Amino acid sequence: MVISNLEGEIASKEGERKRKRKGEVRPSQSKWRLDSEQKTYSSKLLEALRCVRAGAPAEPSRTRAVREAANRALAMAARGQTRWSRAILSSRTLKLTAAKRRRAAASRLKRSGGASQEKKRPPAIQRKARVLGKLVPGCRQLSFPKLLEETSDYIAALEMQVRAMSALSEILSSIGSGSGAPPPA
Amino acid sequence: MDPPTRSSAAGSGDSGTYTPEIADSIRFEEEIQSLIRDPPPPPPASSSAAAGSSSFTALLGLPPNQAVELLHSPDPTGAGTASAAGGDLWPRLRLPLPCSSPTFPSNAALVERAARFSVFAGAGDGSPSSSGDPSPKTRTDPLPPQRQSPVAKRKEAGEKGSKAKAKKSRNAEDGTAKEDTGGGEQLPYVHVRARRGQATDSHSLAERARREKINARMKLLQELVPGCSKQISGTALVLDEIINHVQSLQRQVEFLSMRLAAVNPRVDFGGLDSFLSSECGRPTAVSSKSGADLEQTTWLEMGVNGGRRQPQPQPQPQQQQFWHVDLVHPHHISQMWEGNDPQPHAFANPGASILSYDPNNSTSLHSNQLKMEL
Repeated sequence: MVISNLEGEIASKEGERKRKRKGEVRPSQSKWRLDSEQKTYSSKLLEALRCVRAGAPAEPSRTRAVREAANRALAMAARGQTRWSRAILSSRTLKLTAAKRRRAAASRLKRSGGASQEKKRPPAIQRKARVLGKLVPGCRQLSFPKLLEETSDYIAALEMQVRAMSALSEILSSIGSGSGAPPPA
Repeated sequence: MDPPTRSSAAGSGDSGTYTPEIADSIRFEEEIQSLIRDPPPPPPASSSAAAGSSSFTALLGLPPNQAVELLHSPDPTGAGTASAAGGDLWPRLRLPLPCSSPTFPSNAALVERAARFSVFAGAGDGSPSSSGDPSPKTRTDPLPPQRQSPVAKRKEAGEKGSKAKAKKSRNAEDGTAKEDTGGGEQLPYVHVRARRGQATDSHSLAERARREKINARMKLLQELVPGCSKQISGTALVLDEIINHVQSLQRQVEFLSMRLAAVNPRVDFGGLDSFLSSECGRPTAVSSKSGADLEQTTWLEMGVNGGRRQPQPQPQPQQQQFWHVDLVHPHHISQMWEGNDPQPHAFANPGASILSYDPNNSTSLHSNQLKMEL
């Protein structure tokens, strides 16, 4: 049947299940490579997508809604151990994102005048650290080593998110177009 | 006046010669030489020959109880690269210690004796020795007062000397200890070894520990980011790579979410839910297998929770599509209707236009027609 094929497809797409888990006190990055983690994330994402389906129907806001839902699901998968996940979960409302954009625009206008004077850490590196802090949610005023730690975890999480979402979109599109044609084996 | 027998050497010395103290000093030198000989073999074994000469001084600088703690404190991140800084130091610190730990008790005794010698060399006038008489006379010669002064004085001086030494070394240690207890690496102290030719004050030690933490994390990040080869050294370029990577990942997420948003309406989530949840162990809301049924039930659920209706007369069997039509895309219908040719697909049109964003897709039309027939 079509459904059993799809199930096999999901299993093959998710990869092998046997990966060892590193036991570290620090949030381990290998946890983002686990298939169980990816599956949990995928089902949470599906749930969120269903809600989005009911909610925001216009095209651009839909993309944003899907992205926000995906980020929120990712942050939940982090189990609150990292700063970026807490920042994502605690600040994702429509008003807040709009306010953030306004604040960011204003600060960009103000910042274009000043230049930093200190020489302890070369300004180039410090500038890049600030840029990185802006990219990673919730990590603006963070010390440099902490920022690096958060960044490494964030990169691992983003990679898992990309993997899960691409697999999901492929499966969904194959289901959608697969009622007539058989899905690719 | 016979001094109480603290050591046989002191007790036996009553013949007017300096034999016990000379023997003590000889033993002192021998132990120092044995200590010098001991540490150099282990450090080459731990591949840090450059640190061998300075490790001895660092070891001697440590009071014995802290050294024992070094031995016994746990090392949970033995394989972790994040604690490479700490981990690098641990084998170096550990290996010399077991070899020299049997000599530590004597080391403490040595320290005491050295202190004793220095104290007695300097304070010959104020010594409240019970015997008293030879001490002021023998200021230049430290050995004879040893023979006659009571044991208590010797012990006091020894303790004072060792305490002073301990305080000095502990101050140097605190510079690193308090730096790194907040380091989240689960080590009680991170003992940064002062390498040859580098300053040993607490500030530079703390600086170095901090820099090593940062370097360890940068190494981790370099492994994570694919475009970052080992040759790109220098923090700025590596940071550039990292920033590019994060931006590209975020852009990919955006692109994928756009795809998911486009693919969304065509899909029966109920079926997929049963696939994934059967593997994840969640209770399934829907258990039927055919796609059309699932669509109906899912959309019925949404219709029950739903909201507005559009003022459009439609026959009864199509009420399900009707509900899901206005739930999913209340704003979109008018747009899509302008883009479509409505007449031939009067009934299928709402479903078709809503279900798929490109009305040219015949397969979704097909599924809608299936539903209508049902």
